[in-house]
Amino acid sequence: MTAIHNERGAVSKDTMTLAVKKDTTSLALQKEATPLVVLANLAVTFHTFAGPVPAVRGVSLTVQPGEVVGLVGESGCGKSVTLQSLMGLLPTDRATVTVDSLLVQGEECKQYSEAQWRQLRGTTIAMVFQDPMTALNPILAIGTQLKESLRLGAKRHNETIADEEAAALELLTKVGIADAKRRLTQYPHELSGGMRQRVVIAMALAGRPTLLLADEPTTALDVTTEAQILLLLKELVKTEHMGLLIISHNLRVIAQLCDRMSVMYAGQVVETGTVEDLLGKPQHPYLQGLLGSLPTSATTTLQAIGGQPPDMFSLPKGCAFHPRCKQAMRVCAREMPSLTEGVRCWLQAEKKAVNV
Amino acid sequence: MNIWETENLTKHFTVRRGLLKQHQQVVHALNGVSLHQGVGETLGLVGESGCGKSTFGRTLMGLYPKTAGRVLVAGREITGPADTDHVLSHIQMVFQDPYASLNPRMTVRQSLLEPLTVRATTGTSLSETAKQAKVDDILEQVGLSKAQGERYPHEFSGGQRQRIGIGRALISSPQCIICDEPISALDVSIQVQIVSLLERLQAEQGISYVFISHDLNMVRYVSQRIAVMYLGGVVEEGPTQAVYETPLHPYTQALIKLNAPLAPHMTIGPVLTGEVPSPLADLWGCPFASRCPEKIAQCEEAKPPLVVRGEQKVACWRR
Repeated sequence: MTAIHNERGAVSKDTMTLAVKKDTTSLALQKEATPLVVLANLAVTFHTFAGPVPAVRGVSLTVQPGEVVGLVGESGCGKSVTLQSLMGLLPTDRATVTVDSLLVQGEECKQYSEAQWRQLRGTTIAMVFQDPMTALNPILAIGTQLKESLRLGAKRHNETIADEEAAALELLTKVGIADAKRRLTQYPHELSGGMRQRVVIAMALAGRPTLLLADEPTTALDVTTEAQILLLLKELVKTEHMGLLIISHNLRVIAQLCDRMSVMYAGQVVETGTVEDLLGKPQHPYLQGLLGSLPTSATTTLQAIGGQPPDMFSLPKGCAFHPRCKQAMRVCAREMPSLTEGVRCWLQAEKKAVNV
Repeated sequence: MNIWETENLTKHFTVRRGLLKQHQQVVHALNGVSLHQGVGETLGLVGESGCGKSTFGRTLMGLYPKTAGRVLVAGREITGPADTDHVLSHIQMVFQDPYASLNPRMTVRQSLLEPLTVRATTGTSLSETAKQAKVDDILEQVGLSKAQGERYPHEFSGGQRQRIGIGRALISSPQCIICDEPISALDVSIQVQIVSLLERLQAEQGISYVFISHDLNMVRYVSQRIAVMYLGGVVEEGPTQAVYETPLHPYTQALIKLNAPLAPHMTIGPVLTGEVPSPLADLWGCPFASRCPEKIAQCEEAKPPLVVRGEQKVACWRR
């Protein structure tokens, strides 16, 4: 969105702009205004032997072109399940998925069949996983795997690739791999962790996706390598004009990369907004607690969030966070608060009432 | 008086490679590490994966036999397996993965009781009721109920299992606990609970910790002194505050910048270019030379020694 605002600003400032140019700009704006993905009210329940698990309970999100959106939360909060549903990857025999609307580039996909999803995967939406070693085939050379992705991408775009070798080399160079020619003949185990993740990103780019999903892409890497991958992702979003939806439990990754973020707890979004607002002035007690748990300098005293993360088999009544919340009120145990103005908390409603 | 000290502690692993496993190679996991720890002190050990920080903890404990160098525990030199009881009565260990470090077929009480029944130094002389009382006491200290002692590890969450791991280390009444990434497998909200528990035990009983972690902010919070490791060697050591405020080694400087505390506006980097040398290679020069922004010719010719610079020690030719 910021990119659009900037463009608008530039256009209005420039007094010499011709009417024709204005027209094309507004056309471009219109085209850009179609979000890459709009997910409304997703609910996923897994059926296990121990009973139903409501992994996701009403999550909505939007990603615009050129935008980086972060999804933060602790393990088991439903962030990966949310991401998988955007690619139609959830097992329908073991999970009940209900969604009000799932628009991918303006097209409704909630009734899509497996065959239709396959048309989208890799070409419109692509995914980068956490562990690059398990995402790559250990017995095939990097080049073989890259070319396969390229061929598939071209097939779905109804194109043919004249020189696969050259295309693969170009992709590897794009993700910052030096000595690309030699790398094509190497196998995954011969590469370092950071290099492998670059190859996985290159494969994701092979189908020229408009939306890239990344599930903890740097969690398996060291901080020095993490910085390299984050920088690469940030540059790719700019040069390829993609949207990026990234999952991480590491708030620092989100702060470095994202424009907007959503914080999840027990399958729900508890706070959403710009990274600046959420990290600068967190409203939800859970996010406040999370930020308080991170040491900033040697002198601070850490404020722990008490208690345990909720048992997804038997979620507490009312707000899922209330048993751990220091500011919990009676209403919190009775009723679930709704997501109003980006925050799911009764304190928010109370503040508003006082102000009125 | 130091609880333990190491002098040039070295650990090399031999690996056999090739089709017939005839080609022998040496992994230089630890290359002459000299560290020590005072009573009631927390020593932070930081570095990236593969830098040898875990190997150091394990070699110090005697879990890996050392290749060269000296280890002294409570003033006594450790020479071989005969000294195991002496080491274990002074130093205990808490592991990273609380799922893998507990016996799934033993109740928590049985796990806690075991050190008291198998090691002469820790309490085989105690009566059965005294042992049970000690287990109850430990359970309470780590924040678990007596009833929870009858349960099996799978019935607990990750944070609770880590409490059990700490309890099992604690029951031998050690002076020092080596915590090898004790919180990295846990969620952020639970990490603080475990760190607070460690802090409380230290305040009450004066236990020392070796806190091995890659989370520099948490290490800064818990330790009084830190040692930064790179490729099997210590590149910088000193009081935590001094190292964080005026890091001397280029690697420490980069690590601290990369771990900058969370802020609404953060830039990515600094990005270090160059590859980490393989631990299989026999390095002549400074191990960090391949990625160092301040490299000079000397760096590739000889390995810099760890020298004293004020309160800190640093291994760099340019400092």
